[in-house]
Amino acid sequence: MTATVVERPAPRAEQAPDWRGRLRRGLLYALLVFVLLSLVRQITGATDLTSAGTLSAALGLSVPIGMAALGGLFSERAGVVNIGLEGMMIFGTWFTGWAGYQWGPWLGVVFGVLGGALFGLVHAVATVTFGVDHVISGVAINIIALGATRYLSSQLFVGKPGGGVNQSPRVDDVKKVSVPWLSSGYDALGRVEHHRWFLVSDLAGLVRGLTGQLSLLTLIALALLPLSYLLLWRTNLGLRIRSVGENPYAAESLGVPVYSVKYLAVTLSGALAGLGGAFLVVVYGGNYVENQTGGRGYIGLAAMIFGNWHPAGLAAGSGLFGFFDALRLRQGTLAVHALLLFVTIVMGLLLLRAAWKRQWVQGVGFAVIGGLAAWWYFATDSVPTVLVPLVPYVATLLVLAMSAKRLRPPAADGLPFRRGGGG
Amino acid sequence: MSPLAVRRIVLGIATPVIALVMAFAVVWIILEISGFDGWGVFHNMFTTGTEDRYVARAINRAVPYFFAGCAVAVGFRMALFNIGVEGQYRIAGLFAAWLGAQVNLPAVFEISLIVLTSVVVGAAAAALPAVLKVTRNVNEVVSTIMLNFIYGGVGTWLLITYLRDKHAHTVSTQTKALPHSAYFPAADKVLNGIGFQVPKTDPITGLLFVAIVLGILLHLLIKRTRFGFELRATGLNPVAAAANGVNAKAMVIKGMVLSGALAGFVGLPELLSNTHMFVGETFPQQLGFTGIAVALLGRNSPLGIGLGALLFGFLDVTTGSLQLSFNPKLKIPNEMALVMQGSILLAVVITYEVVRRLELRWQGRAVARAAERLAGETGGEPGEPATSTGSAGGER
Repeated sequence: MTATVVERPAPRAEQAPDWRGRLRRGLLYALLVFVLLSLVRQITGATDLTSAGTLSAALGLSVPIGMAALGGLFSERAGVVNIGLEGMMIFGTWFTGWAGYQWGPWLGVVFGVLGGALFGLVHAVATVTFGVDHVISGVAINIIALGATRYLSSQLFVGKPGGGVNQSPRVDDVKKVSVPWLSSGYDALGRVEHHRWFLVSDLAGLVRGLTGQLSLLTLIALALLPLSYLLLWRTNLGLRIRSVGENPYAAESLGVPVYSVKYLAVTLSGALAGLGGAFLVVVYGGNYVENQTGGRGYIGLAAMIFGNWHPAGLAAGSGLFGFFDALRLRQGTLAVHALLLFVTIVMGLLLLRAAWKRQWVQGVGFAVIGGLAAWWYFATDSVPTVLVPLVPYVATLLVLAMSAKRLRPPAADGLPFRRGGGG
Repeated sequence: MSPLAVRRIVLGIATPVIALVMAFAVVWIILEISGFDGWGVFHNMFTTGTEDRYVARAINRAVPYFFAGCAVAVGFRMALFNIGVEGQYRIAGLFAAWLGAQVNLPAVFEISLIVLTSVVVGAAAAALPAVLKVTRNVNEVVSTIMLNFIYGGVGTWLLITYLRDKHAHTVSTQTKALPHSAYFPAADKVLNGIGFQVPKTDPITGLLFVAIVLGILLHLLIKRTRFGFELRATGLNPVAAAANGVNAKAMVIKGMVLSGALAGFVGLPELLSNTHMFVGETFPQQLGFTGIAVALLGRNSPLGIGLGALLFGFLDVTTGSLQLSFNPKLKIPNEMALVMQGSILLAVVITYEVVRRLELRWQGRAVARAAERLAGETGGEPGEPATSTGSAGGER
């Protein structure tokens, strides 16, 4: 050892986050979006843009996406990329359908979670123990999920009442609750919403959508978001999970059982994706149907990336995608058409900001997208029915293109780790 | 030949065999649990699978699998995951079928036009996620999956509103039928000429030869050109490649465009040898995802992909033939092919990884031994080199 110690620049550490500033900015953006939506609703008459029905559906549809995203969060915080979320979610839906029609929705949910966890475990075995490339293992799980569920359905659902090769018999829903007086019974908010006042009615719709007809499963899922935050950032286990994702060799040298932590995180990841699938079956579908997930596992992954590998961010991302998903279900063609005006306005604002900051290249991009949206909005009366289902996917792509540049994944995300391989 | 080289060759042959045996063991267990006769099923698959017409059908199924596998493999070679082959070949096939039906040229030009259109559209469709990755840092796995949905939906919309044959009185939505000049000659004459017996009922597509030529070209491109070298270097160690002057961003665009261009071939057997039109409801689906499995199975080399594609084609047609069986112990559901393909895929991926590790350990040991011998000859300290290679040897 020589006496001179070279002063090395500190490794890119996570900057002490300015939480209050970020929160304020996030709320400001949310408020802006809300006012814009209200405005667009007023102009176009697409009432479902902010109705309680849409927002209630949006909340419901964000739950499966959010659960997949949360699953992705645990896995990637532990350094394992999990593209297999979609497959785990598919298994979640199938197992929920299988157990749910026989023993009731709650046991169905339990089996859905276990089914997802089982394939989370498979992913962990392949990536952690055998060192298979994470994306390859994930893609393999997705391919297997498609074949295996179809095979299992043909064996176990055919011949049952309401069952078939691509669906299970009926599964009952779990209990739904509402806030009395405000959203049910007298329904004060419903009355306000009915008047279509600018902003006021929209706000009433928002609150009513979030307080009326809430499934107990939704409440559980919502509770999981802050719980995950507390687990990951306020407990020893959470610190271990994150340290494994940032620098597994350093963690190993400090005595963290890296393999076990990764196994735990990836299995948990599968369980959460399975819960998302269970939610789709119990609350949305009423039974298991093939292709029920419709790529929500992938969208969840995108929501997590958009949310910068953080529960609050992924909640915002899931809410956004859930909203777009809900819009296409209600008043489909009309609401999506109104959405084009919304996109035009947002692009206009971004163009102004880009011009202010003299970012000409981005400005051109915003202008092109905004121009196309405006042209489409004014040249047509509604969006073709075939294109309406594409909204969540286009939104995912656009939002990622806007935001992916400033993101920071865990440092060892997706890298192979060998016990004792740190030299 | 050194013992290490011998062992490597033996491993190269043994690995796929071990993987297949493992996969079939898994499938056998699944079959037995579901109450089927596992051995009977395998035996039946093998006897029907070697009949001429089933071989011909398996080859016809394998050709598009091969194209899809190659498209995926080009990306995999540089650690670029083009999950979007699915969307790319569908939109490429749609445009090629539509444009080809608008004109009626002599066969050479007609077929060239269709192939070229398909390749260009496929490449363009793949360029979008590449540009998003390079300029906006959007992960290509997520973007190509989203684009699968988007291309699929936009394709359906275009077909219904603009590209459809409006004079066709059919239930299905389709483009105008291609002229006869676009019918690709079958491979039967050539194959019969070199001693094969192609059954009259199941002609083999002439695109088989296109696939073989393309496979050879791809092999040469990857192994013998500067571009191929840069491609592999980027995949193996992007930092080292960049340090040696490889333009990483340009490589992403080039790799993705090449992958998309190859994806343009996937739909061609359907258009040139099969239905000769793009039928919205029946144009083959899921080939992009099968291509991923085939590429992994074939270890990203054209020869391996060809064998993997044949295996998958074989599984397709033989499980299909078992549907006709009168024995309930053998009448497995169609979905079994998917389960088999999935199990084979996972078994193969894991086996290859284990073998790769084993090989590394052997290499480490051999190096350690050689170093010790060298140290003994020069009278140096044997402990020193042995420990420095110890970490490589201990890698597991």
